[in-house]
Amino acid sequence: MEDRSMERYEHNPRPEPVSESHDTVAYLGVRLPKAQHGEGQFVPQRDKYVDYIEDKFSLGLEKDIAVSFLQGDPVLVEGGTSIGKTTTIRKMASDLGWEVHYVNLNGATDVEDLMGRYIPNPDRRTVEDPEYQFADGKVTSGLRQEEGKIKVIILDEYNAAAPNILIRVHEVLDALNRGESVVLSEDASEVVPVSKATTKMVALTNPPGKGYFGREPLDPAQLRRWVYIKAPSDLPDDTFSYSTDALFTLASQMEEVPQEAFLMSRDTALLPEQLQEIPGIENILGKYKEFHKAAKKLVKERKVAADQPQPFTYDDRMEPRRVRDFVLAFYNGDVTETFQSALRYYYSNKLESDEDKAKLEELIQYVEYVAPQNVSQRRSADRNATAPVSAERPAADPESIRTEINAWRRVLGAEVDIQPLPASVTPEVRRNLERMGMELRFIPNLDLGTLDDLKRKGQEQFIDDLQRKYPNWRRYETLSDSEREDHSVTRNLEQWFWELAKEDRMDFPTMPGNWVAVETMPKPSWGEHYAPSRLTEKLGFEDRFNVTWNDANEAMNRSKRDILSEAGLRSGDVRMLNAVEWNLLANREGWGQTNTYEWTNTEARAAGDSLRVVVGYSDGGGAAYADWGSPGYSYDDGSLGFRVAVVLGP
Amino acid sequence: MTNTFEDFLKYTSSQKEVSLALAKDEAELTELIQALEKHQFRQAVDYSDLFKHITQPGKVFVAVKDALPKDMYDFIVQYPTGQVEIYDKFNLKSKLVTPSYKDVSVIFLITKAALTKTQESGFRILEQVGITYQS
Repeated sequence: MEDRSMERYEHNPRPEPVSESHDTVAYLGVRLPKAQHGEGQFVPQRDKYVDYIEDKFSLGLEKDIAVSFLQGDPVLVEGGTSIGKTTTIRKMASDLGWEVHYVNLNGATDVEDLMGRYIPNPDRRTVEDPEYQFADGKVTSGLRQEEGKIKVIILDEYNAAAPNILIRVHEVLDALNRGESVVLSEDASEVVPVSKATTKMVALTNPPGKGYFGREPLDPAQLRRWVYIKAPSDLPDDTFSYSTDALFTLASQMEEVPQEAFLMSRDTALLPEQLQEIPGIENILGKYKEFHKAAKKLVKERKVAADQPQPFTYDDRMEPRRVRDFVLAFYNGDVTETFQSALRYYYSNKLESDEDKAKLEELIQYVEYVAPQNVSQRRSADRNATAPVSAERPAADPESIRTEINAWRRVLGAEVDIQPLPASVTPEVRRNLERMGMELRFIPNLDLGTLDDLKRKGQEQFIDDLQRKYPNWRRYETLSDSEREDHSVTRNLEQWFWELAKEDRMDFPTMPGNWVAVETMPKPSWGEHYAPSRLTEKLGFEDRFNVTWNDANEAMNRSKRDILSEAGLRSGDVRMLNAVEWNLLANREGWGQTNTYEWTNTEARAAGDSLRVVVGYSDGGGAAYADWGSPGYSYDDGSLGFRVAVVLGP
Repeated sequence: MTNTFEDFLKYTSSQKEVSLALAKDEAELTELIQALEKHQFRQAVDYSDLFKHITQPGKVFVAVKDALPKDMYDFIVQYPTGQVEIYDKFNLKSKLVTPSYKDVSVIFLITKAALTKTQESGFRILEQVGITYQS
């Protein structure tokens, strides 16, 4: 199985580095909302960025900026002139339909240019009309809330700004951060409500010194208000080489990036009160605190960032809050991976050299949760509850969760939540299951919508909407001929299947999310046989072909207690997979590649008859294929088999 | 760097950055202005004027004899980014333009003395411009 899954990994399409849906754009997995009203003179025109090269460096920069945009944090990017900071932000804004309010602070000395001032009223017609009226400055116009709009304020050459401007900007940042209103002292103390959800602040700087006259280092106390990202002064050599090739059309405009470069944001952020339910949170927090102190010491003793002209520190108040917010937005079921990603973002990103980053990475690797040997990883939400203790450590190691996350990310093109394994699944249980030919898989909780959605939209639109949520789970009917034949291209069940639900000839599928032990043997081609297994014997069959659904189901019910007992489980449901479960696993395991069928547990109804959905025929769509069969008929041509799953109880 | 001013002019078209021609002194600046006008370049006196010539095919130049004004610096910095926003600080209004780039030439003509003064004031235009000419 190990080798086969690696093979599939190689052939599976990776998620697109920049992926777009109807209402979002994701940059290496960090998903940002498009503006509802994404037009107007301040929104950069999309056609101006058609030749923008999405090389590794640009994609990384977009991702880093997207994280701060998502979190509502002001972000300060320091880097050389040539790396394309402003262009990258304008390009992202053009993707998202966001307004850009740009001001270059080099040579600007007047706070009122930013915040506004009274000017003679150009519309004055009578003496009753006011002689003067207030006109917004650049920052104020970016702060004003307008329905359906999202605005980015770019403060370019921020470290060339006059001190009085910096002070005023910091007052604005503090108000945004606290979710308070900005008081315009420039306009008779007008109160302007602001929101970091709809106003994003970006400061751009060139490195102080290093030939940039007039750029003074910022006071670290001021810098702490920003998420500080230290970008290089020049493009990295490999990026320069790639983007040059791309310009000459010798390389693709979108560079391939490894899976590890992706950071998938959650569809819904966790609530702070849910943090205590994360397995290992207390343990890893202890390590994070030690990491923070050690990282601060490295900076203070100039063991890292010694040659960076812009001084900074790791702030005792800001960094923990940011790390917490990162966990809320990006927790993926693996507390170690999530924390380490946060630390790379908020700590490593402040360092310029690879050597410094390597030093900090050693500390980051220390921030790891290792489950204690005999205590369940799953902590109760009730802090006073006693953690259940089992004789052997449950098998829900972070590796299992990571494997599931990565596998479903490949199949669905989206992040799914993976629940911890039930406490009953010890390593011994896992070994028992494997002896019976079963492996553990988490079948994710998918947001399929409702039957009403399906009836209202029709099956085509309904499946397209599913594809927006899960970009790799593609509508079969839209695949090209070559894609249909390439069974590594993941696909939803064909429209016919969903039409059954729409026409009330099948119950609408539900996907609550559960761990199953499932037989993972390959589906044989016609004329071949399923590999002999302990479970086949237990069920009393010689082969899986030529068995009616009724007989297979009855055998499973009859053998349920025996199967659970041999596995070492007290509870669990023994059944065939439902059609959607089968489809998802078929996409993952490659069951759609052969020209035979399998029964599923999904019932379909026609003319008063109860039928069962059969799936998997390669020439008819493989994982997408669905038809129905009479449960009492054995289809004796050796083409219709079945597989067993144990749905694990708590 | 190109060999002749005529070569330089050929290459300035459709660039995504502003081009720069450096004159030794005001006398050469005058010569270059005449040469540009001979090649149907229009002189822009301020950014509003510049805006008129960059949204469709055209040839435009700005002559700088003293330190570069701030709004012109803002123009040079933003021109490659796909959108230029200049803030009219008298009327407190933003003016925006989207350069079309295709078949557009934008040249800033500047004397060496003005360039030195500009760079010393913190406007590092040499890092922002594209192709450059000096005799």
